[in-house]
This record gives sequence, C-alpha cells and structure tokens, in this order.
Amino acid sequence: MTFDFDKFSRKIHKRHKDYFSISEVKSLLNLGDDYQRDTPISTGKRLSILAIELKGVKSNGEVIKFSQKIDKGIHIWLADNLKGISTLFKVIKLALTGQNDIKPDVKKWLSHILVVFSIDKRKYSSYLDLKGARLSASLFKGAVGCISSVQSSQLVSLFSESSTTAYQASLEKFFFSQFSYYSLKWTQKKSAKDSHGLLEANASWRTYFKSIFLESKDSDKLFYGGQGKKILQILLGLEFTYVINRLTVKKEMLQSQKGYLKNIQGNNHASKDMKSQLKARIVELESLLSSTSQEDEGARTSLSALYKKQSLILDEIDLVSQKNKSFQESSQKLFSIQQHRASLEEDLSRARKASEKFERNIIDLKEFLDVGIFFSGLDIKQCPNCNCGISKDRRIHQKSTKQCLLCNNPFDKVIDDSKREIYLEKIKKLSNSKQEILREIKRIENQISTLDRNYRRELNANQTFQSQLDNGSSLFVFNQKLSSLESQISKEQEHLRLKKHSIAERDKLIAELAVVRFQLAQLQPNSDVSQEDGKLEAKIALLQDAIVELNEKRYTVSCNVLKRLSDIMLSEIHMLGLNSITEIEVSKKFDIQYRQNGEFISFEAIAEGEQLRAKIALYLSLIQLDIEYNFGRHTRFLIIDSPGKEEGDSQYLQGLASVLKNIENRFGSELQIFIGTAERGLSDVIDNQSIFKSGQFLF
Amino acid sequence: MEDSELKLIRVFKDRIRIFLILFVFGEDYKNESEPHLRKVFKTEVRIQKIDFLLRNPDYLSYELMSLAKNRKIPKFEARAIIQRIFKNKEPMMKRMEMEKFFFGAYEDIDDVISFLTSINFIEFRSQRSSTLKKIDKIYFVTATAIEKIDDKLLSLDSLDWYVKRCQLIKKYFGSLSGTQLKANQYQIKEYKEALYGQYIEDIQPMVKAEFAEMFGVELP
Repeated sequence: MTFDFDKFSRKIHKRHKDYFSISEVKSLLNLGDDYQRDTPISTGKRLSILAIELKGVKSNGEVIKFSQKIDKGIHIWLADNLKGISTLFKVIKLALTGQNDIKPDVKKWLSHILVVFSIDKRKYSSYLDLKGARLSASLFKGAVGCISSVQSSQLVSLFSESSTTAYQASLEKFFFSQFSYYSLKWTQKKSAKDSHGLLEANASWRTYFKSIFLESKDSDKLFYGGQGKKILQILLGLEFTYVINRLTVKKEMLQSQKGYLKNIQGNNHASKDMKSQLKARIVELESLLSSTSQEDEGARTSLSALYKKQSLILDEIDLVSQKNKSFQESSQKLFSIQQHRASLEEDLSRARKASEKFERNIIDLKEFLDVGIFFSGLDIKQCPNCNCGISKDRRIHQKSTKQCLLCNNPFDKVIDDSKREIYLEKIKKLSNSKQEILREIKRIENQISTLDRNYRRELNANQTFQSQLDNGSSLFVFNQKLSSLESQISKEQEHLRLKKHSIAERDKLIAELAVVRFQLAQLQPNSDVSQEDGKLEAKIALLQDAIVELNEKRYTVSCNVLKRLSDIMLSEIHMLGLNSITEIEVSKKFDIQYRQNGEFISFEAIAEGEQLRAKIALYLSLIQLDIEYNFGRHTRFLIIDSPGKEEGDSQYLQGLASVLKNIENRFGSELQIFIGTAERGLSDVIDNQSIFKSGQFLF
Repeated sequence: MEDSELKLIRVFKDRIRIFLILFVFGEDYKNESEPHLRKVFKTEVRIQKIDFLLRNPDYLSYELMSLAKNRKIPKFEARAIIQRIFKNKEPMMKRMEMEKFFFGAYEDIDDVISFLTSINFIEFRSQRSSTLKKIDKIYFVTATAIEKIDDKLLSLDSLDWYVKRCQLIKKYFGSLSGTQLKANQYQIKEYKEALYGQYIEDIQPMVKAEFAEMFGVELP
C-alpha cells in the first residue's frame, strides 16, 4: 500500500494552520519511510522445532541425557505434573529468546542445551553452554547433529555471545528480521522519585514470545503484561501500526513536558534566593550561548526560510497540478464525447441503412404485388421454345390438374388472393419496422445534438484551463525551483549535521535557559510561559489528530482482516465448547470483546473456567488467519502448557481434543503446536505424542 | 426477406422493366402483313445500355450533367432532375447492380424475352449475317400487349416510376443507338475501369462532387 505523506501532512496542516506551517507539520509527523513499514500480508514463514537435546547432572548425581526429535504438526507430552514438561518448554524459550525462566534448582542441573529449529526450509541450531557463571551461546546456520558434535561442527555460527543480555539482543535481532517484527514502544514514568518526565520502553522479542508460549500461570490473561495490545498489533502487522505507535510516544513525551511546565507554573512560592539563583544562571547561560557560533543560528534561520520557500513552491505545484488535472480531465471528457459521438454516428449510419433497406423492400414488394397480379392474369399463348400456339384445352387442363402446361411440373399462381394477403401483411410489418427505425434515428440524432452542445461547453472550459496553464509557470519550472531549493536545503542540512554536536550542546543550553526563564517567569508572571504552554498544547493536539486519522485509516483498510480473525475465533471457541459466546468483536483500539448472554465483556470478565479456551482460540485463530488467508505474522509455532489445568470439565476436554484433531487434519504440515498436559484424557488424540507413565520424569 | 422470395421478385422486376423499355422506346410499326405487331425496337445492346441507365440513377445523373456541361440541355433542367433523383434517394432505392462484359454493362435477358413472347406481348427476330452469326436482334411489341398495357398496367402506382423514368431517358437519350449509349457510358472512369465479370461500382460521391462544383449547391 502506498502512502502519500505530503497529502497526509497537508490534510493535518489544514486543521492546524493557525499554529504551524506545513514544514513544521511535516517535521512533527516525519518518520521517514516508516509510514509504509507495515503490511498485514503474511511473510509465509514458519518456525518449527526439529530437535531438543539437554545434558547435565541432577543434584542426586543422576546424569541428564535427554534427546528428542520432533515432527511438524501437533505434539503432545503427557506426564504427571512437576515431571519436567514445563522445564522442557522453558528450555525452548531459553534457546530461542535467551531468557532463562527455568526453576532455580533445575537451572543448576543443566550444563548444555541444543535446540535445532527451522524457519521455512533453513535450519538453525541454538547451542547454550550453561556450565560457567556467564552464559556462552551460539546460533549456527544449519542443524547440529548433537551436543557432542558442536565443537567439531563445520557449521557457520551466525553469532556467538558470552552474556545473557548479548545473546538476547542477538536473538532478538535475528528473529525480528526473520518475521518482520520490530519494537513497539510505550512510555513509562522514570523510577527516580524526584525525576520528571518519561522513559521510552520497547517491546522485545521476549515480549512477543509470549504469543508463542502460553504458560499455564498466565491463563487468566489474554496477553502477558500491560502491552498485550501491542503484541496483537505486531502479530497482525496492520498498516500504520508503527507510525501510530511512534507518534503516540512522541505525543506522550510532549504531554509529560507540558505537565512538567504546569508543575513549575503552579509553584508560586519560590523564595527570593531562588529568584536570584535563577537570574544568575540566566546570565551564565546567556554568556555561554553568546559564545557559541552565530553561524549555526544563521544556518538554522536560513534553513527555516528555505523550508518556507519550499512549502510555498509545493503549494504552487499543488495548484498547478490541480489545474493540470482539471485540464487533463476536461481533455479526457472531450475525447470521450468525441468517441461517444463517433459511435453514435456509426449507429446512425447503420440505422439509416436499415431504414433504406426496409423502404426498398416495401417498394419491391408493392411492385411485385402489382406486377405479379398483372402477369398472373395473363395466359401463356405460345411456347417460347418452338413458338407453337398453346391450345385452350391445354390451358384448361393446367387449371384442372394444376400442372404446368409447358413443363408439367406442379403449377401454382404466383399471386392469388391468399398470397396477396400474406404479402400485404409483410408490407405492413416492414412499414412498422421502418417506423421503429425512424424513431431510433430520431433518438440518436437527439443524442448527437445533446453531445454536440456538451462538447461545445466542455471545449470552452478546456480552452479556459489551457489559457490558465499557458499564462502561468509550468510544473517543469516549479520542479526546477524545487529541485534547486532541495539542493540548498540538503547543503544546509549537511552543514547543520556537521555542527550537530555543537548544536546539541547549544540546544541543551537553550533548553535550560528556557526552563530557567520559565521558572523565573513563574515567580515574575510572564506571558511567554503561557505561549510556550500553548505551543506544546497545539503540538499535542496535532499529534492526537494525526493519530486519530491514522487509526481511522488503519481500521478502514484492516477491518476485513479483523472481521476474519473474529469469525475464526468464534468458530474455534464454539469448537472448544464455549457456546455461550455468540459474537466476538475486535475494536479499533484492539480491545477484544466477547458477547456472552447478550452483553459484550472483556477477556478478564469471562469466567475463570472458560478463559483458557478463549485464549487458545485467539492464538489458534491467529495461526489460521496466516495459513488460510495469508494475513499476519504469527510464527505458526505454539506451546500450550497445561491447557487442561484449570478447565477440566469433560466438554472442554472433548472440545480441545476435537480442535486438536481438526487442526492436525487441516494444517498438520503448516504449523507446529506443542501441548504439555497431565490430563490423560488427551492421550491418543493425535499421532505425535510422548506419554510418560504415572510418576515418570521426562529426564 | 428470404432468398427465394427475393429471386422471385427479381424475375418479375426484370420482366416488367425490359417490357417497358421495349414499349416506351419502341417505334411505331405498321405492316399490313403483320397487323398484330405495333412497335419495333432494335438491338439487344440498346436494351442493355438503356437498362443500365434505368438501374443506375447515379450514372443517369452523371450523363445528364455531361449534357448540361456540353450545353445540349439547359443547366437548370439537369439540376432539377438530379436534385429530385437524390432527394428521393434513388441511387440507393432503385439501384440494381449490373455486371460488365465485353461490350459494357450486360445481363442475360433471354428468359425475360421468352416469357414476354409466351404471353404474346412481344415477338422476337434476329437477323443473321452471311456467316449465319447473329448480328442484330429485333423486338416487336404486339397489339395484345398494347391493349393490356392501356387497360391495366399503366394505371398501377408502383410502375409509375418506371414509366416516367423510361420517358425521361427517352427524352434525353432516346435518339442514341446502343453503340452510342455504350460509348457515352465508357466515358465514365468507374465504368471503363470495371473488370470483366464484375459489378460496375456506384459513382454517387463523384456525382455529388461534380454537382457541387457545377451548381454550387450540395446534393442531399
């Protein structure tokens, strides 16, 4: 999808032109090419685990040597609670994200982990050495056979890290690039008590992994943590998600700044000492600022002037383009009128020919009737062959036998009374047809005459557009001017970039000066502060406006995707036995609402015993959306830990078993789902299963 | 209309047209030994060339313009006739294409002559040369035909056009022999250049252009 940033900026500018120039608006909204960063079209990639191997020694001295190869599709591990299924899943999480959530006691047992996985047809191996105090881990391109062959492996290492943080960062980079993920941001208050303002926080690969690993402890939450909607947005990849997120963060930062100013504004009981301190600092800052280069200021002023000129030229180009467009549209209209007229002329010519044909047929038939009757009334008197006369007897014989008196073939009068009636009827029909054609001719002539009037009118308009374009400067001239300006702007920007450091320093001084002046203004009331406040308010309003606009756009272009997701989710929920939910709606703000007993409720309001089913339905639906409709970015890999833990009623288990079978049948080779459960009722539901006897450990 | 119907209509058109040519263009004939013969018409070539003018109102118009150009008839007279011909759309309504053979426009009329003979409307004779080759054909219109024509045929509305057109052609070209008529027709490029066995194409655009040039007004 293409996005016209200029058009978008102009639209926003129209509503905020009292406060901002177009270049200021563009500068506030500019996020580079990222307006087109998102697309809901699936990458088609899928993550599958091919093998897991663990090594270590338990506290009782028992050697851990676990190795398992895993096929695509659904795989169930069935064992008693606390026998190692959750640990196995956490090992996968550790290998794929770098985050170690394994229970501290078990953590100590493990020395090496190898998880071989594939993304589409490419295989990778995550190898972790946990022996030392610091993690040592590598991601190899290709499948490592087993832990003992890692050292001798000839495989290329994509990265090797010697700390958890570094491995997490490298894995994040790797998976983000594979699945077109990126960090959605949010703001949060700085933790220090006396500090003002906000910090930016990022959603990480570990956050998004929560959409893969559905842990039993999180079964009462649709998404893990407070940023669940962001996970959903990333998984859906809807248009404008990135820019909406970034502009929202920008807006929140400005809101914080505004709050800070207000806070200062409210502080009206500063001491005289405070005033003198502030004044002294102002003198100091002004002195420092005066020593900075005037040249930088000049460059900024010049750049600002250039931006204004650029904006004016863009407006002019817009105007000329509009005129051009009107001229083109008018020319197109003229052309289509001409074409229409030519086609009508052809119709007219055809109709006239048809009318002439009818007329000629009528004339011929009338003539035939008259001449036929005349000649039919005459007797053959002489043989044209031998010139002998034909006797009266032969003529009588012809009448009685109806045989031709010359050739003896059956004889019938060319025209008799009954044939005359038939020919008269034909003449009548032809006359009617001719009248009809004449009416059609009249209708076409009227149409042509209307077209001619329209053509003359359009021609006048067209000539007016043409003369307007001839009298004004051409797009070429404006584009040349624009190009020259852009070149100047680029030079000035380069100049500023070179001075960036000093400018940044000076900006800090300016910012501090502004704050100190503001603080002083609060002590000595000053209108500048309220102006600053007003400008901030305007920026916030503009950003809010842009966010609302983009949200609307996103919802408009994506509502089909969201509708499909809702439909699939509802179907899955019903299959899981939750028939009391009759409708699911995903709002513009990505709130998922479930209609139960006629009321829309949030996930949290669903009864505890039913929440897990709603959650599983959501994730299965995200995967289905990808497989069936090619929308979204889910990895098509899911780990569901203890899906039967809290919801052990028989209808649920039957529903879950049925859903699993259904998914296995429909999408077996297209996805991978790991189920860990202690629920023996789920045994033999699908082919790929690892069943451990009661009391038996996985490793 | 169906083809069989069109063919039948055509047969009757040919019969009446050829008879009217013989009737209108035939000269009075009086021979005491042949009292039943009243008019005589000479040569088949003449029939064919008159028939061509009858069947092609655009060629007739052109020939009338040629007469006017050569001051053989008043211009206003030619102009009025040609305007009427085009106003009535005769070049479309009345046109019956003719093929070109060795001696110009030609169509086999043997069947028509046989029929007219069988109903005792005409008598047909051919003069032979010393080599017994047919060189001339003479057609006589009988008293029976004239009697029938007087009583019935000329009163039919649908034949009014044929009679009047034959009279018009007779007025301006009646004195010309078949060979002279043929020579005139060969003056027209489209006629001259038509290939043997092919239809002679219509010359409406050319007539319209020449008419506009000659009279300063457009034909409809």
